[in-house]
Amino acid sequence: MKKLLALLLTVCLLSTLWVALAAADDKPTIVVNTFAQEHEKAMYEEVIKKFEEENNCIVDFRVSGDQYWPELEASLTAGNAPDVFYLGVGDVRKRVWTNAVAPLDDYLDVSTLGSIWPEALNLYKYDEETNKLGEGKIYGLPKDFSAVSMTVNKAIIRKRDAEIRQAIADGILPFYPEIDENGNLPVYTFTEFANLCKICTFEDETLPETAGSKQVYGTHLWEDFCLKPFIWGAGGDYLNEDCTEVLFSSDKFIEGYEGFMKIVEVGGSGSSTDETSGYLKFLAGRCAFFPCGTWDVGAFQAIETDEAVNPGKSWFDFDVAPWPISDEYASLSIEERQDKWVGRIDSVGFCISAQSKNPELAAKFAYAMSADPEVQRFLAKRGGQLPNLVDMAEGEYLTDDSYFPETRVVFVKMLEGQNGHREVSSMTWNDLWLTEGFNTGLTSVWSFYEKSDLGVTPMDVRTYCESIQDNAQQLLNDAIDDMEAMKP
Amino acid sequence: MQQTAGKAVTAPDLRQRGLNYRQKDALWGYGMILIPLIGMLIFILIPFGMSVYASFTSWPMGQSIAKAKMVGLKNYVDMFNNKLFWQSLGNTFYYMIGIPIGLAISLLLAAAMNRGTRYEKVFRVVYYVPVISSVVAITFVFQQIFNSDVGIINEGLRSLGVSDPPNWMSHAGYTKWVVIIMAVWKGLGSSIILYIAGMQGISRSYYEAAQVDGANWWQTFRSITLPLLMPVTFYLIVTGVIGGSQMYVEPRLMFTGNGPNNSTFTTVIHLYDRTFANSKAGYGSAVAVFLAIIVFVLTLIQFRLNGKGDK
Repeated sequence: MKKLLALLLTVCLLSTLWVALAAADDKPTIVVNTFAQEHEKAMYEEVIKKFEEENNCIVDFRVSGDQYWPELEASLTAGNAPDVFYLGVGDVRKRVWTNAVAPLDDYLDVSTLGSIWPEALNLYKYDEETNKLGEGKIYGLPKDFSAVSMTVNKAIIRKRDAEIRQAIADGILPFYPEIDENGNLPVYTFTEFANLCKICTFEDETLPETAGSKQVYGTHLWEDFCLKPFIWGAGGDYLNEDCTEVLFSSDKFIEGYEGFMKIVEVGGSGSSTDETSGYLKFLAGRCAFFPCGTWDVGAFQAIETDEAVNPGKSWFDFDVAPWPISDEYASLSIEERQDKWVGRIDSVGFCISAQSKNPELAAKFAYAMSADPEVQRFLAKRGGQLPNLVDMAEGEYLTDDSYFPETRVVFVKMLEGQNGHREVSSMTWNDLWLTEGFNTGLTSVWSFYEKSDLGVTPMDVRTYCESIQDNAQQLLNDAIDDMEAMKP
Repeated sequence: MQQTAGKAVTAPDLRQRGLNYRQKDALWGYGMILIPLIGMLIFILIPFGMSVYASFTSWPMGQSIAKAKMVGLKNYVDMFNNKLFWQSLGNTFYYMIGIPIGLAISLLLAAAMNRGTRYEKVFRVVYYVPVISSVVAITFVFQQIFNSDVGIINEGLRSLGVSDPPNWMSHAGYTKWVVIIMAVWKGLGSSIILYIAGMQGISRSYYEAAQVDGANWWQTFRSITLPLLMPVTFYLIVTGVIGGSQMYVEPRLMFTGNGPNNSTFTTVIHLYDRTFANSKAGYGSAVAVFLAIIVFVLTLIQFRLNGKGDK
C-alpha cells in the first residue's frame, strides 16, 4: 500500500512538473529587470500585460529596490544578465567594451526611431571605431527623457497669500509665485526665493493629524539632488566642458552654493537634523517647494485628487515651477528671466543583453516601451514620464487637459534644452569626484549655516569648496585613468 | 567505495589487496574530510586567491576578471592615500567597543539567569528574540527610539528636565553609539545562551569547595566562574572581532548615506560601494584583502594571548 502511495505521489509530482515545463516552453520568455516606484511598477505591469498578449510571449518583469545598480553589476559579472535591463547613460562605453549589451541596429529598423527626442537617443549611441559617444550604433532606447523641476504646493501659497502680497508690496518679492497672464514662469533670484521660503515657514493648525506635525517649511532641499540647479542658475558648473576639471572652487559654483544655503540661513528650510525627510514632508503638505522629477507626478497627483484625504485640495495642490537664479539677475524683468533658470535632465534606457536568447523579442520590447505612441500616451497620462516622442510632448501633452500637472510646460522647456542641463554624474567614468569628493563633508556646511553643533568643524561654503577641490580633482583624474585602463 | 582506473574497488577487494584496518580507516577518513575540503577550496581558497589577484588589477565590475589589466600595487597605494578609507577603518574599530560592553552585560545576565529562579526560561526566550528578529525591523524600531524629536529616549530626557537632548541620528558624536547600542542589544541573546551553557558545564564541586572555604558570591564568580568561562569568552571575542570588522547592515540601514560627516561609514561599506556602486572591483578587492589580513592578525594575537593565559 505504502509503495503504491509513493508511486502515485511520484507520478503526480512528475506530471505536474512536466505540465509546468511544457507550459513554460510554449511561449518565448524574456527577463526584464528594472527599478521603479510602486505607481510606476503598476503602470508598467499594465503595459507589459498588453505586450505579452500581442506578442504571445512571457515577460518575467522584475523590479529591484535601491540596490538595482549593484545587483546589475553583479549579475553582469556573473554572466547572468537579464534579457532587458536599464542602461545608464554614463555606462554605454563600459557596457559595449565588456560586450554586455547588443547593438539594437541588428534587431530593429532604426529609421523608425526618428520620433524620439534626438538628444535622448544620442545618449545611447556609441561608435567603437572613433570612440565617440552620440554617434554610431544604438545600444539603448530611452525608457524616459526625464526632467527635475521645482514643484510648488499651491495650497500653502494660498494660506500665505496675505504675507506674500505684503512682501510684494514691500519690494521683498517682485511677483506672485504663479504663471503670469503672458505665460511667464515665476523665476526668483536666490535671495527672493529664500525670502519666499521664509514666508512659507509657519505653523499650520489646519493641517490634518496625518501630517505628523503642524510645522510647515518653505522647502527642505539636500545637496545631492537639489544643488545642481542653483549652481547652473548662477552660471556655474561642476565640470569644465571636456569633463577633465572639477570646478568646486570656482566663484560661480560658490555663488550658487551660497544661494542654496541662503534658504537655510534665513530659516526657510527644514533642518538637517529633522528625521522626517523633505519628500515625506512635501507629501504631508508640510513643504511649499520641493524638487519634482517627471516620474514623481503620478504619485503627487494621486494625493492631490484623493478627496477622502485631501478634500478640496485643502492641503496638497501641486504644480511644477522653475528653479531660482543668481542674484545678479535681480534687476531683470520676469520676461528676461525666463531663459536663465536651469534644471536637471537625464535619461535611463532599455538595452538588451548580448547574451539574450531572445534578442529579437527583447529589442521589440525595448522599442514598444520606448517608442510606441500608445504606450507613451498611457505612461504620460498616468504621470509616469513625459512622452519620449517629440511631437507628442510638444503637441497633445501640452494642449490636452487630461495630462497633468497644469504647468507641465516647465518640463518640456527643460527637455527642449533652453532650461535643461544634463546630469553631471553620468558624464564621467565614475562619480567618485562628486559622491566622495564633494558630498562627504557637507555636514560641516550645514553646521555653519544652521549655527548648530553637529559634531563637526563648521565651514562656510567657500572654505568647504576650497578644502575639497584638490581631492575631488584627484578622484576625477583617477576616473579618467580608470577609463583609459579599461579601453580595449 | 573507491574508483581505480574505471573499476570499482569494494571492501572485499581492499581486503584481498592487503589493506589493513588502519589503512582502510584512514581511507574512509580522507574520504570524509574531502567533502569539506572541496567546499573550502571552492568557497574560500579560490575566491580569496581571486581577490588577491584582483587587488592587483583595475578590474571593473561587469567584466570578466580574466580580462582585467594588471596595475601592480596601485590599488593599495590609492587605498592607503585615501582619507575616507582610514576613517572607515577607524569607525570599524570604534564599533568594536561594543564587544566588551556586550560581553559584560551578557555575562551578568547569564549569571542572573542561571540561578534556578522561576522564570529564567522565559527571560532566556525574551533575550533571544532580537537574535532571530529581522535586522530591518529592529533598525526601524531603533530609528524611532532615537528619533531626536519624538523618540522615547529624548522624550524621557526631556521629562527629566534635559532641555536640549542629543540629536542621536544627526550628530556625528552620537551616531556610532546608536549603532553600538543596537548591535549589543541584538547580540545579547546568543552570548547569554553560550555563557549559560558554559556555566552549566562547570562542576558543582568547585562551588561547594569555595563555599566550605567561606567564599562569597563575588569571590566565587571572580575566581571560579570567570576563569572557567574563558573558552566561551575567547570564542565570543574572536567571533565578535570578526563580525565587527564586517559591520555593514546596521549602519547602512540606520543612516542615510554614510551618516553625518561619514561617522557611520565602515570599511565594508567602503568596499561594497567602491566595488559595486563605483565599479572598482580591483580597489574593492584590495580593501577586502587588507581587511582580511587585519582580522587574521587580530585573531592570531587573541589566540596567542589566550594561549599565554592558559599557561
